[in-house]
Amino acid sequence: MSIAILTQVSDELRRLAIAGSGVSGGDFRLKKLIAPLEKAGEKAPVFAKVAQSAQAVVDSNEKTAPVALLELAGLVNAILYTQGETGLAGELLTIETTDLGARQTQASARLLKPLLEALSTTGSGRLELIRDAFERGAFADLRLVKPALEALDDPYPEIGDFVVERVLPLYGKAILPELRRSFDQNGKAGHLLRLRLMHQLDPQGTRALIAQTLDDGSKELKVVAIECLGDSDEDLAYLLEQSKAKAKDVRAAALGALTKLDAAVAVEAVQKAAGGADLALIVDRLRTSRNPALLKFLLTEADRQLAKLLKLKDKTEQGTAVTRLQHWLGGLVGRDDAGTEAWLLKGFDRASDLAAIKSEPSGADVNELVAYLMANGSPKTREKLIAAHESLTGPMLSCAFAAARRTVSPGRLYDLFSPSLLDQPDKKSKKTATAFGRLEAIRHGLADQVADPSLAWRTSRVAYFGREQGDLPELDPRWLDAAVATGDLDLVQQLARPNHPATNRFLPEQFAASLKKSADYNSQRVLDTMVRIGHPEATKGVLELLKQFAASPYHGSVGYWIGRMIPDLPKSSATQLEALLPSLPEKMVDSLMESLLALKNKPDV
Amino acid sequence: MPKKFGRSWKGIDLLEKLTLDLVRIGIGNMNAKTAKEIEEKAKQLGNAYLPGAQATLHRFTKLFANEDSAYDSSVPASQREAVYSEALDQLGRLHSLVKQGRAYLQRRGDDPELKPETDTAIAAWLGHAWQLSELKAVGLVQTDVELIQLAFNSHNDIARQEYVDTGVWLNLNTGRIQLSQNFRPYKAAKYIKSDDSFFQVATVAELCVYPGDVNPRVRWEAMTPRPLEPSDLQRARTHAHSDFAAVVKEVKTNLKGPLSDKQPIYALSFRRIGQIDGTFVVEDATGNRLTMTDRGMTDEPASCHLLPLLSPGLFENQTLVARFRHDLDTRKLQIKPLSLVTESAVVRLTM
Repeated sequence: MSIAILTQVSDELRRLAIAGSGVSGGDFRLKKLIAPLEKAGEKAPVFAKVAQSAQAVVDSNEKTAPVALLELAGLVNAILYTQGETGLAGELLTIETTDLGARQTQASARLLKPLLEALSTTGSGRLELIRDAFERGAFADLRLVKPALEALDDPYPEIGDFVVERVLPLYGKAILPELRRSFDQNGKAGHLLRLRLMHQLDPQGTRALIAQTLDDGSKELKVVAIECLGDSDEDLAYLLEQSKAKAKDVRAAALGALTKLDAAVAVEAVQKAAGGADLALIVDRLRTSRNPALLKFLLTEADRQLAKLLKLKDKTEQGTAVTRLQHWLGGLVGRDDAGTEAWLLKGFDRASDLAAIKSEPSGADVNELVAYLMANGSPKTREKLIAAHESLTGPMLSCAFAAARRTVSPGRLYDLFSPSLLDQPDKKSKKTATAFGRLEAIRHGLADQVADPSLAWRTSRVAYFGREQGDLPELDPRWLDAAVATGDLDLVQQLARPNHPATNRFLPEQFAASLKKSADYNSQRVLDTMVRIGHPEATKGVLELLKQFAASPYHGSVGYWIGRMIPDLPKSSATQLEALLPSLPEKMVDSLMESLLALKNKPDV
Repeated sequence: MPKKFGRSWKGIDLLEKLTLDLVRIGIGNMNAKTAKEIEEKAKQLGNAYLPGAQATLHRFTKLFANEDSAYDSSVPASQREAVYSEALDQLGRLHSLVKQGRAYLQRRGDDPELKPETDTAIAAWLGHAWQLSELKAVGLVQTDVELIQLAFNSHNDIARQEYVDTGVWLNLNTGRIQLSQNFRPYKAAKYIKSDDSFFQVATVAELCVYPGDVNPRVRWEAMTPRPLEPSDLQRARTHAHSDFAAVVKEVKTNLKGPLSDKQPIYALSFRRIGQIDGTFVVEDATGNRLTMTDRGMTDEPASCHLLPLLSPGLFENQTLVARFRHDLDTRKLQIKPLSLVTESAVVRLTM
């Protein structure tokens, strides 16, 4: 088949269609192709048809040209569709793969689509969505690898940080080729993250790139490249030089890298810098160093600093000394070795002396930090803290509670600490201040492991400070009884569980009482708890709250607060909710529809 | 003649005028004013029960639009060149629809008792909304069917103001690849549940199959899911086409029809997947090859770039589910990988 002529006809046709059919009549270039088409038509009749059709275009006038052109286009394209070239000549080579391994799973479109959008667009709320998807294991899906890599350049830095710390390490060395390909040594932001990640995944394999970046990279990248040194003694001379640089970030990077080296001269340089004004710069790296010489240095300096602090009288000097001691102690976070243990036990014994220091920051701040370190330290430090709990209050007591939570049985924890909850005084006064302080500390300690994530914002700074990664044992069920007995609504909401008779009596009472005042956030929270535990009156509560909200000017946004509870109600509640809809304002109905549909469509249990 | 037909006739006349005007003006002279006029007239076609024509017009204007479906006058002429062949093809489709539509309406006008045509999709193009009961009545129903989903996509059709959830299914009984489509107009989207990926086997007592060509639309009223087993995947793999030459012939025969689906989906049983100078290629047992690309197939996310992330075992003796496309400019027939069917899983590459 003379496809060459046909493609020429197609090209002319395209030209005429672009210009407009007005120029088609008498078109010289198309006219030239008619004779060869007719000749080809002698062997293949379809070409004769094309020739006729082309002639019709050439002979057309302004009125008939559009149809003639479309007829010819239809005919030519129909033939060309059958002539599409397939295949490719040459040796078929293997595809170089970076296998993600057996952990690949395939997420559903409903999970994937909003996540892909969150990774590739801008706007608020994306980090929460990404974090949630990560917790659910969605990032094991290979379709997210590229978007996750591209998220390194997200304009919102927290997303890039999250992706580089939590998500990308999942893929291991498989992503190294793409990281190298997209790395720009004159770049900033996302490229800093790329270099760090490449070094993390393949320290030896990245050395050449680091060396190149030290020579030719941007200022910011050079700092990161320096941080990545220290895996070899070859780096020593360069790092020693950079540890004296004028720029603070360069010094910090070089000193941090020196903490990885065992050579005496490296240790000396770190000690000298830490002993001076650069302590704050490198204390994070001191904390992660496993060099025994540096640990000994930390403990010695902490000792020296404590002794110095206890001798000072001037408040300003005390404040400065406290800050410096806090830095030294910061180097002990996460350590449970014998030296650290001994220091903490000694430091705890000086608690009352430290408490007498009223500067800003104060000795009490040091005590808090010591308690935190003890709660997360060796068994001996935890035991000492727990044993002293009756003499403690405030944040120190919260730390003791956190230590006990991880150390003693749930029953023992209850026996030790519940009196502080149950014996609460009737009213606050100077006399009862300590008791109330202990009460709040226990309440914060219990809030440390919240059942309801929506209440997590209530966790105090100290409770957060006292929290450690990892699972905590379940709490003794008597805590809920104690919470109900003391009428502590917040605590009941955190600890509530299904089929607890006292809670089932308590919550509706609280709900009714708060509803009498107004349909506000507090009544929603109580209702949220009732829904969560499957309270028999949860549906009734939702209906009441909806009715109350209907009269409020904010009824249009009720979908956010109440709507999200609806899918967790029993499926049978859908009928009652649907029956209520006609009596609600349209905007309110609109905001609830999606939730109602989710309830109706949820699988039968 | 029923009122609806009267409207359809007028719609066909309007469509013809619109198509011829566009050819008269010239594709290269498309501007914001023309684009707006087309959109306005496309609405009238909807009122005239011509959804197929409306959709094709939207596809035409979409070629010249930006992501928000607005005419993008910032695009330089050189870039717009890339869409002209496709634009001309769309105009050709509209012209065919006018001709075939008139003939169809004439036949129905002459014989009002005439049932809607079931051999092709012309009835739907001209606005016939098939009811499940109708499909059953004309025998377009399969019983006791088992389906597995090979791919899924949900896209936002801005021009049509609706979301479309499309499932690509393999009918384990017949080996045909069929599509489920859930349309959710913006105004009603809140009240219509969206579809999602499906990872089990769908057992359907009565599967209604719309008139169509290679990948017809299907619908069901009730479906029972059951877990996917290796034997199901084995069954799926046996339905794949192992002779690429035969598939290509079938594809080309189908493509030449002016109203046919221009991007049909097939399951291909291959010997291996490799690369030649960076182009991914799939080869059958006798050495016939097809090249892969994402170009021109943008309703689904790009997928070729995922191939280097797969386990090497997936590149030999598996089943590839792929969408075919003939590129009017390069004159190549190429494929876009949608998923791989192995002995133990369906590995999705799009959604």
